[in-house]
Order: sequence, then C-alpha cells, then structure tokens
Amino acid sequence: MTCAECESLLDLFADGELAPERKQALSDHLAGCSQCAEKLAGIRALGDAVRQLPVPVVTADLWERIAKDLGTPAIAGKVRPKRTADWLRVASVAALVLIAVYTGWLAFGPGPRRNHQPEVVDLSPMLEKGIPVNFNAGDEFKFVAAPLDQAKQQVTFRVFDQPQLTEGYTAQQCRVGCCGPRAIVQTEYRRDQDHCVMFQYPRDLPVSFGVAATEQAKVGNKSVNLVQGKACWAASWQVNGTGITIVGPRDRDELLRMVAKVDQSFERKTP
Amino acid sequence: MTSRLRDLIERAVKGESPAQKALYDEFVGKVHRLAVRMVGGSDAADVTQQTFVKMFRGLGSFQGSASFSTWLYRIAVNECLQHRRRERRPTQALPAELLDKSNGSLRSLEAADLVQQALSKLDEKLRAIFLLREVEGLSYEQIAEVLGIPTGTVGSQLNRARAELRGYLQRQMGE
Repeated sequence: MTCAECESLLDLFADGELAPERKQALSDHLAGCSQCAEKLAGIRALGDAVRQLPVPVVTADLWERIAKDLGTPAIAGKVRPKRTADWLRVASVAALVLIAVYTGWLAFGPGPRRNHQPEVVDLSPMLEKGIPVNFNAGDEFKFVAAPLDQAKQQVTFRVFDQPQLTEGYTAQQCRVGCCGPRAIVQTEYRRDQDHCVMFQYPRDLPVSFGVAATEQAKVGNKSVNLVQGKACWAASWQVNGTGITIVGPRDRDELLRMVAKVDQSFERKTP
Repeated sequence: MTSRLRDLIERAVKGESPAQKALYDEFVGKVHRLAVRMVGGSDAADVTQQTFVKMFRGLGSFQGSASFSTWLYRIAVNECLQHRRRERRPTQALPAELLDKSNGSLRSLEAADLVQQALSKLDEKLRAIFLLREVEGLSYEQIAEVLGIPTGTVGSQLNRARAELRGYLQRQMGE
C-alpha cells in the first residue's frame, strides 16, 4: 500500500469503518511508515481535543420549562388527566399539526422564539366535513402557486410530482409555502367532486397523531399512520427525506392505494 | 431498543409525566452536549428545550424503525440548524469562565478555547457530522440516518471537516 492510498483510508480506519481486509493492509503500512502513523495520530488527537471540551451544566429549571411547554405537571409522579375532547377532534388536529407548525412559522416569521408555541390552526373540518369544492388553502397558508415541476425545484426534499395520483385523481393546483429546507408543498388532486390534498415537507418535522387517535397500517414494508375523520381519511408517513400527509379520500383502501403509488414512486427514484 | 426504553416511550406517549421525565433524564446530557457544540453555550438550553418539546410532541409517530437516539439526534440537529438560521449569527465560542479551571492550566484553557473557535468556524452541517462521529460516537450509517444523506457522503464530509479544523488550528498556532 502506498502512502497516498493509506492517507485516503485514514479517516475510515480511525472511525472503525474500514473493511477488515483493507484494515490489515493499512495496519501493516502504518507499522512501517512514521509519516502516515503521525497523520492518524493527528486525526485521533483532534477527536480527543473536542471530546475533552467542557460542557456547561444543564440548568436545573430546564425540565420545568419543557413540562410547561408540554402542559404536563413539572413534578414527576403525576399523570396528566385524560382529555375530554372526543378522539376524533384530537386526532384531526394532531394529524395536521405539521400544517399548524408551518402556519405559525409562515404567519409570524422566524423571529426569536424562546418558549415559543406554534399557533395551532384547527383544520379538523377537513376531516370532519371533507374538503370543500372551493378549497383554497392559499389565503390561509400564504402559499404561492407553482407548477408541480417548478415546486420541486424550490425545495430541498424530494417531491412526488406526478400529475396523476390514482383512479382518476388529477393534480389541479400546487402551491409552495416558503422556502428551502423549511418549505411545504401542497398539491390538490380532484376526481369529479372528490378532492384530496397532499402535503409534502421535510421528514424531520415531528408529526404527532396523539395517543389513541391513529391506526398503524402496513403498505408494503412501510408503516403508515392513518386517521379516520367523519368525512374522510388521512394518512401520514415518511419516505427517504420527505414526510407526506394525504387528506381527503373517503375510502380507506383508496387512500392506501394512493400511499402505495406515492411511496413506490419515491422508492424508484435514485437519491 | 431495550424493553425498559420501549416501556418508557409507550408510557410517555400516554402522557405519563414520570416516564417523560425519565426519558428526559436519560437523554438530556447527549442533546445538551450536542447543542453546546453546535450553537454555543448561551443558546444551548433553548435548543435543548425545543428539541425535547418536539420530541415529546412527535413521540406518537416514532415508529421504532430507527433507534430512538438516532431519531432524537435528528430532531436535535434540525433544531440546531433552525436556531442558527433564525438567529443569523455565528456560534458563540464557550466563554473562558465556563471552562473547567479546576484541573487546567492557562495553556489548556487556551487550547480548549482554540478548539471551540475552530469548531465555530466550521460549516454547520460539517460540524454536525464531525460531532456526531467524534463526540456522540455514531457510525457512518447512523449519521447518514440522522442527516438524511448517503453513507458515502458522511465519510467524505468527515474528511473535509477534519481537514478544515486542522487547517484552522495550524494557522492559529502558527501565528
């Protein structure tokens, strides 16, 4: 092994990520090459230096602040009382919490946020009453219309960009809510009088469906959260770097077929 | 995942405060340590707070396909990156008074300050990769999972991060 080959593998070696067969060859080289051995020592010394940096102690009131944000008792040992709202309301609000988070962010901008609570916009009517014929979330979310093929250029995550969903559902309009890694893409699909809306967003946005409000379903090998409203169903899941929520179908199986189509489309794409 | 952790998560999802507190106690050290390195000591508590609030709110959707700590790191890194964008200011180096003076000479304090400065000069995503590997001990595969990038990219980015850190330190020490 040459020094150049050795140097290109030093990080992998130091991190324990080198395949065993190359590890031995590199070890042999290091045993007889002081220059390469010195470079390895430098990599390790850098890691040691950062690990030895002191960390300030966690402030004593941090848990109390978190508990306050969560609305739970700060003193461990008490159990939060059960909510009195019916499960559907809790589920429908929670299912769309990602929209609420974004709405809060879009409406108020990325300002200072100590103890900030995102504004919750109750979109449960979409689950309880269905999506209205004149559905237009643009005003509500301050989204900007963008063709599907342009929308995907404006975000950092991968987007399902096909104009056809399943069984006659066709994309009618697509909007993008603000920018870069915090964007959300909203596409409305219609089939005659039937509507559904797909929201796509970065997968790292935590989406909560509450406790008893969700049903887990398997689509292929993918686990999907399902919520049943009075008027329609919603599904939420993640694929690669994208989180996806579809709201609107009245039929559970139809929704699962949508999930399968979108998911397969993502899996077929190369990153 | 251990049965104890699974039990804690299930109880925390149900809103049981003792289980939430136990989860917090178990992971706050890791999250806070990462936050200190990523955003600086003065903002680390806020970032840690937001990370746990988001974690608990999203706990119902945690599906167990990734490890819990990997999932939590993902939230924490994202929160650090968001914090930087919101605040639009560079990471604050650790003030000297926060350094442990009990067993350190002036020389070691200066060295620690220099290393912290070098970290703060690093691109934030490179910094996250470097810290997840060197301080948190994650494998390339786990880092790729946290950041949503290919495993091969982790190696090349780590190499770049180390080269930039070395370069900065050499320039400073050469002055």
